Amino acid sequence: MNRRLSSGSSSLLAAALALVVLIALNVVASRTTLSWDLTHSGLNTLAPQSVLAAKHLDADLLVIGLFRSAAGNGQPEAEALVGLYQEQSPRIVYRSESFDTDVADVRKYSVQEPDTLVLDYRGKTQLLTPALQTEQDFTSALLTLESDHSPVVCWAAGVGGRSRSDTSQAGYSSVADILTRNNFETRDLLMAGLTAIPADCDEVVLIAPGIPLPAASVKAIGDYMAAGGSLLIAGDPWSQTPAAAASLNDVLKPYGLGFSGVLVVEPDTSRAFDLITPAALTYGSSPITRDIQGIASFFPQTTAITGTPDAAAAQLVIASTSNISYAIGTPRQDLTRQAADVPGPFAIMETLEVPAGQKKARIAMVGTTGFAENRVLPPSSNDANLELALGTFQWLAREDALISLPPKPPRALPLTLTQQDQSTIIFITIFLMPGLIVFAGVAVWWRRRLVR
Amino acid sequence: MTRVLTIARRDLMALFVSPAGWVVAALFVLLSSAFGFVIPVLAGQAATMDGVFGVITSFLLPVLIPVITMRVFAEERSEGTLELLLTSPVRDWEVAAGKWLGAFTFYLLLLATTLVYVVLLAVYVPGHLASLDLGLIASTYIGLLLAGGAATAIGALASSLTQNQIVAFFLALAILLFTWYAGTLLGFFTQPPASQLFQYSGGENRFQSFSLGLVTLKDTVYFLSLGIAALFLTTRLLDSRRWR
Repeated sequence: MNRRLSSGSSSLLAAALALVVLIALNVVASRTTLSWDLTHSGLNTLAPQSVLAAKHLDADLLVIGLFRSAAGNGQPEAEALVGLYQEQSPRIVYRSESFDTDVADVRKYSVQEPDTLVLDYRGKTQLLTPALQTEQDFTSALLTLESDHSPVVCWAAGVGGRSRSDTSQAGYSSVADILTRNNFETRDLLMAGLTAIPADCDEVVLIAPGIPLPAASVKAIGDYMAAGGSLLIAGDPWSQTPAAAASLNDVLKPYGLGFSGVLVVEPDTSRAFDLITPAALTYGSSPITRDIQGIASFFPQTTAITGTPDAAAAQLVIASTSNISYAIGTPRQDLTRQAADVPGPFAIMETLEVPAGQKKARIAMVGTTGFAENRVLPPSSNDANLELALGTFQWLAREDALISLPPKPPRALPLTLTQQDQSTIIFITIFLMPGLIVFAGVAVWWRRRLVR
Repeated sequence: MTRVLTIARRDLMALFVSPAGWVVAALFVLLSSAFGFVIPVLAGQAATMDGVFGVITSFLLPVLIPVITMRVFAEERSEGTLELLLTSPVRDWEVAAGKWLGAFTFYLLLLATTLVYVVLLAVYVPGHLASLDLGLIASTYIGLLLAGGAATAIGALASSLTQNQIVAFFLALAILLFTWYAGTLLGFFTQPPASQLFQYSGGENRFQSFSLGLVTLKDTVYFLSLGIAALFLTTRLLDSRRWR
């Protein structure tokens, strides 16, 4: 009896000891970041610029993953990426939270979309929405957080138009929020009496004024651009104040461009939300559109951008309409195509880089003031317009120059299989392979039956 | 070691002469072909093994491995041959390791059938073998080897607890499903730090790095620990007949 008890006790003790050792091993291993990236193109290896950005952190960087539990939410990929940066710096602290239950963080960081990464560093924050979770985006965010400079956005004010504080569907409050969360400083720039743009304005925003711009203001913007400034300018169709629309075009006149003022109609349903809301799915190749290729962004009630700039200027059409689109010159109720309508396609968003001495002035033109209104931004819409707007502000602030990483190849290469190829594959995998196994199984069974 | 190999060979052969082994193999190949390869590759027109690996992790590991392992101890116990084996000049750990190795080898053979898909991708992808990310595929296979090793050890442990094969199957299924998915599920319904612990200890979460092309020490240690712990417990259970 005693011997049994002793054997049993020692056996249980040994089992408990072994489990403790294994758990301890796991605890130790969980603290190491030792890993081997076996992928051909180093999908899990950071570029030297990214490594440097991580190593430069001199305070804790809190990364919060606010995910909604669902297959394909991008959590493993995002966490693997954060893990790569953690390998480079012990300063990076990560925690995963539920977007639906962690109300405190969602509110604190004004997160609007599930599956967002929040980066909090020295009180400054960057939000990486699902479309912005590549190595390039993460490193750009790190560099922005590490930088002491906050780009200053000077917002033309006192001439009517959309307001940054307007929280209605037509307002720009979401854009103002996203700029603040991305370390932009926004301030009003009163157009009345303006003779020069302040030197600390990294970019000027001019959204379809409701009244004509004073000539002095137009000249001030011209001087600012001639010195290598940056300008975001948006027009609208069928302006109720033609003088205001004309003054907006006066700003663009030196560059050979302008807003036509016509209303663009897009009958191609695959490229439009409705007749007067064209959608872009493919974009001109630019740092602005890097993350939204293939994702629809909307341009409600847009006009067309017209004109040809100087040969020295670099013009890029970011978004355009289809060949069957047309434009209506004067206001009318019936939007069906009429003989006098102008045939498309039309450029509805463009960027322009113009040599300005040693620098280059940058202009982003959009044919509608609706491209960044609250109605087309999350949570009312997907995040393509948000990325487009944010990317535009970042491009104008020259933040695209912070980092340029070569793109990594996709995990799965595209295949172009002919009907014959597909038939061969189906035959081999669905019929031949299982068939061979069944045949072998039956053969074994038959042989054993004969032996018996 | 020779005795371990002898037991493994005997168990492996038993799987090949029983209909169960062939049914498992045919079912696995059919499912991985249809749902893992044909649908993702032909419908998606993408050279990816993700579908095949998905079938392995969601079906082969939690469902078919219990079918493979349910008989290893339970059958011997119900037929009374386990006592015979344990009283022969072999150590308990050799019996446990041999039984595990036999089932694990069968799992490896099933896994090997999926290499046909890699060959097919290499044939049809532009640039052939050179353009396939073999490192990414290899790292996932390493993860599947480790996860499969742990799963077969857990299956063997479940089989050693009972003499009824059906009970052994459901016990292994329950443990494997819990080990694989509990982290994600419990992590979702609990608060930190408990949720972090659950998320860390979930097999599905630990497998993710392998499927991304990354072989990490912590995940390797996790699966090895699971396997070793299950085999160790199996050995202690076999040993327990001496003092029960």
